[in-house]
Amino acid sequence: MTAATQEATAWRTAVPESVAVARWSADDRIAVADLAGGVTLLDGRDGVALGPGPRHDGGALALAWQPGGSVLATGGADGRVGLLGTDSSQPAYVEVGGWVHALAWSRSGSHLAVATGRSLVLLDPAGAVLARWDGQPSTVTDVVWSRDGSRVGAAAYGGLRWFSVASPSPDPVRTFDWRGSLLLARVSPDGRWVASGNQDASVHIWRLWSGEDAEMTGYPEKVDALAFDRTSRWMANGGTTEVHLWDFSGKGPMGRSPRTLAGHDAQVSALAWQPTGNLLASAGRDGGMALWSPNAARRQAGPRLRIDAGARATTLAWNPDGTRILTGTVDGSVLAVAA
Amino acid sequence: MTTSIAEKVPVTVLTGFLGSGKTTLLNRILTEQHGLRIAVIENEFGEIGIDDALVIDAEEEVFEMNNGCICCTVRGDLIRILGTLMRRKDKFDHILIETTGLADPAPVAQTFFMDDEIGSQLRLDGIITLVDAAHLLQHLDEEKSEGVENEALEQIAFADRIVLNKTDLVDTEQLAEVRRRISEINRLADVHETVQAKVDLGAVLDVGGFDLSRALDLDPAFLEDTEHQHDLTVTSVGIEFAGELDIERLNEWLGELLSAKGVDIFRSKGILAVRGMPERYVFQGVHMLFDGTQGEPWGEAERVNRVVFIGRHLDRAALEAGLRGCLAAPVPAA
Repeated sequence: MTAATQEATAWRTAVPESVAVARWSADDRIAVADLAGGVTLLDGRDGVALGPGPRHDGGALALAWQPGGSVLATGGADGRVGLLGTDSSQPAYVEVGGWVHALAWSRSGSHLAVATGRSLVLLDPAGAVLARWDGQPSTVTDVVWSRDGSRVGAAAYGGLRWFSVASPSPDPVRTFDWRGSLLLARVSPDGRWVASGNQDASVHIWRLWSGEDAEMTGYPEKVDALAFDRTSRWMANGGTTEVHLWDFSGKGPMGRSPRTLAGHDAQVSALAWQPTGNLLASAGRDGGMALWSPNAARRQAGPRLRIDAGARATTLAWNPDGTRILTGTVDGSVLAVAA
Repeated sequence: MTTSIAEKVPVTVLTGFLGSGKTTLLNRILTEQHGLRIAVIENEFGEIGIDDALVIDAEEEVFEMNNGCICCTVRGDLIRILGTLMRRKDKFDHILIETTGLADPAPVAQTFFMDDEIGSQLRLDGIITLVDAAHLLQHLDEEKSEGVENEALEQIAFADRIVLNKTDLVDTEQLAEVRRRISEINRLADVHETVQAKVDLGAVLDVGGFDLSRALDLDPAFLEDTEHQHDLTVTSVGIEFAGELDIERLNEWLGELLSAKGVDIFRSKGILAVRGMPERYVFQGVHMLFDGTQGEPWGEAERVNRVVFIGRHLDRAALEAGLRGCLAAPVPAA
């Protein structure tokens, strides 16, 4: 580590196994899911462990803090969802089926969408099952919400299938068919676009109201990192060693070429936009983490900050006020830096 | 971050029909005192009761890659499971994938070619096919309706090693017939005869079936054309001749061959002598996916080309003519 890195590092700690995902809560706690099945809670100020969260034998794979609330939802290879509220020290578990690959709360925090095996399951914050859509054509790899929370979407091989939350019929209310394997999906904050990163080294985008679609192809590897900024103007994605930035303003990115941010020596593995500002954090398979100000200029001289996490970075998380960013690695390190 | 071949975790694929002894072999591998930490990915529920080993149940999920290559199918379930296994700090020494008796081995193998992240950290060591000596012929001769694959045939065609199990249940004559049928289909795979799946673990866990540096310690027997008594749809074609090939012509021919006939060519392997290249050119392929590199230098050895194709409806004469067409023009004598 360079001197600059040490100065920038607010704190550093470790969990027992490879970090699958880490997220920062509104009340300055951090939940870290690891592949040994543990979820560790850390104090966001100094990284000191607050205690264990829910357990998921075989690997904890997903976690999400309830927006506007304090429930932590977790999931993993044991086919369970763990729910930990502030009012109890013991998590509640809900059996949902197969591996839990993704969790997403609706914006209001009233519903939790769970991607589990070939099912999409909706829970309330107490763990009651509100709806289940079983027998999807393929394993559900991610879940997304429409902006108003009326629809929930399941990403899988074959596209995105949207279901109605208010009247949960078994059939999708809308399908965005596309013959490819979706690895992750994100809805732009303004609710106009949904984008997926795909196994076949492409990004697919759909206009939500019309279903009109487009595709960015030709990446060297699968695209497993993708994020919209808070203004919905920019979408960043990986799939290569550079961060690609697509301009979604006006009629969208069709016909435009992306800005590229070069600062990683290996494939980009995670991306996260500052929740309060315009900074973009990126992490790479080489363990590098970089911070960018993509709006500053069309030509980027380089990242405004670069640190070496020491091992392949798997996740990035901002604290809610956007002053600190953390990354987790395959060797179990968790480190936070001031932005 | 690059990982050299030596550091890559080997993966063995275990195929075979229900009743061929896969669970017995798996339990044998897991209980033997080898000191290896093994992770098992199971597609078929067996009775595995081993405390040390990590056993993960998976549901087979095959999908096409959206790259215009119609036979580039991969296994989504394996991508996800191997993805978490290889990211663990606590590494395994070996990973075993047990497929169902009805599984097509191609998507399993192609997963290692098509997902760079997996290919960079794990190495497919070999496809092991278990065969029930008493029932193989029945499975091979089973009439399939048009367009339906004979999985027993495909699993033998894809194998690097064949464990011919339950040999105590057949007489010598039957056994010879079973062996003959196997070698008609796949001339490359070593066949190990066993009773109760008792096989030396070295013969199944360290095969190097996809390792180009070990490609083709080709037994010359692969060239012998046996008398075909059956209407063979799946066969091995071995080609051998001396001389130097022109790399441009070779690339063009192989490219055209694999794109036109890749669906029918299950596996291919070869060692070739290329004009101007002091090393052997070694290659191997699964359907249309192809991997080639420079191997050992020829040195004083005679520069001989040896290629094997295993597949459906193979035209020996056309394959040989095609490869011979890649011979470099003779160099005028000085």
